[in-house]
Amino acid sequence: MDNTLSPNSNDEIVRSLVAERLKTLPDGAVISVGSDGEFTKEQLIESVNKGNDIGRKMIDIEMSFLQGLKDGILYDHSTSTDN
Amino acid sequence: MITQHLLITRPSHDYLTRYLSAWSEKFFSNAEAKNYSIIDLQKKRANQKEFESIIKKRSPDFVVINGHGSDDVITGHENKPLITAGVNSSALKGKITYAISCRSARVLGKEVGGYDATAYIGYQEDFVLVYLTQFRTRPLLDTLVGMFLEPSNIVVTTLLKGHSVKDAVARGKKEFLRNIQRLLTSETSATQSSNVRFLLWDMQNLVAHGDKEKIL
Repeated sequence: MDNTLSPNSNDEIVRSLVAERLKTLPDGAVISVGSDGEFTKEQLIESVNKGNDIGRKMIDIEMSFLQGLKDGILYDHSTSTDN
Repeated sequence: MITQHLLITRPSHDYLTRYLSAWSEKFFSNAEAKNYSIIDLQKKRANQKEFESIIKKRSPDFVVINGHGSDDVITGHENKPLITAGVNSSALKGKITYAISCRSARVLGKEVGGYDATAYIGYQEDFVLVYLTQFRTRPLLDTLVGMFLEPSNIVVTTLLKGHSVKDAVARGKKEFLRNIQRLLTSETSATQSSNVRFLLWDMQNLVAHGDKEKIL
């Protein structure tokens, strides 16, 4: 059996993961994403599924979070001013 | 004692700017206790003409800018440009600036940080906030948004205490991290802990350019 995933399958899995994560946001929460405006969690989930700019931003944020978990940054007290 | 000046811009024409404006008032007492005179450009006064005029006449040491932004500009009232890279960024020369704004650290902040004896603290990506609709007209009661704006205020209060730019950014990041760790504890509900990703995003994108050892 071939267990490899095509790039499209990966994208689909990531979108699905991010959409599921966004469902856990509190009811009545509004997420302000700078000059792009403010969004309800339902609007963000729709954006992720559509793959528009805001959806891609949510994916960036989720991937950054997962990378942070992997790197142990959430338990690291040393912070840096460097970019 | 010589009075120093803190210039702050506080547009409040939409929910985001109202939140930023309201939460900024929390550090006014810290500033006054340190003998700072606060020059508060609120609402319509948060415009380029008045901003430049105050900087020229009063020469504030510390500038706090609230507003929408992009790589090269931060806006004031009604999203009109207040300070723009390649246009009037030299107004911030010799000062410490903290911009609570999206992405301005990328281009504007780098340009300002390139001036002599100058420091710029800001965010290199979109500054994300999560708040609850029930508190939109009473932003100071929204403890959820406080998880984002308390760390931001710590950047300001750390500078007011006489610490360096580098320390102010580190303490702001540390407070973001503390809030993240609180949300990851078992006593926290899944809905609250879902905000962790946004706090981490803001924490990671808080940066300083220029003279990081500079103090007020």
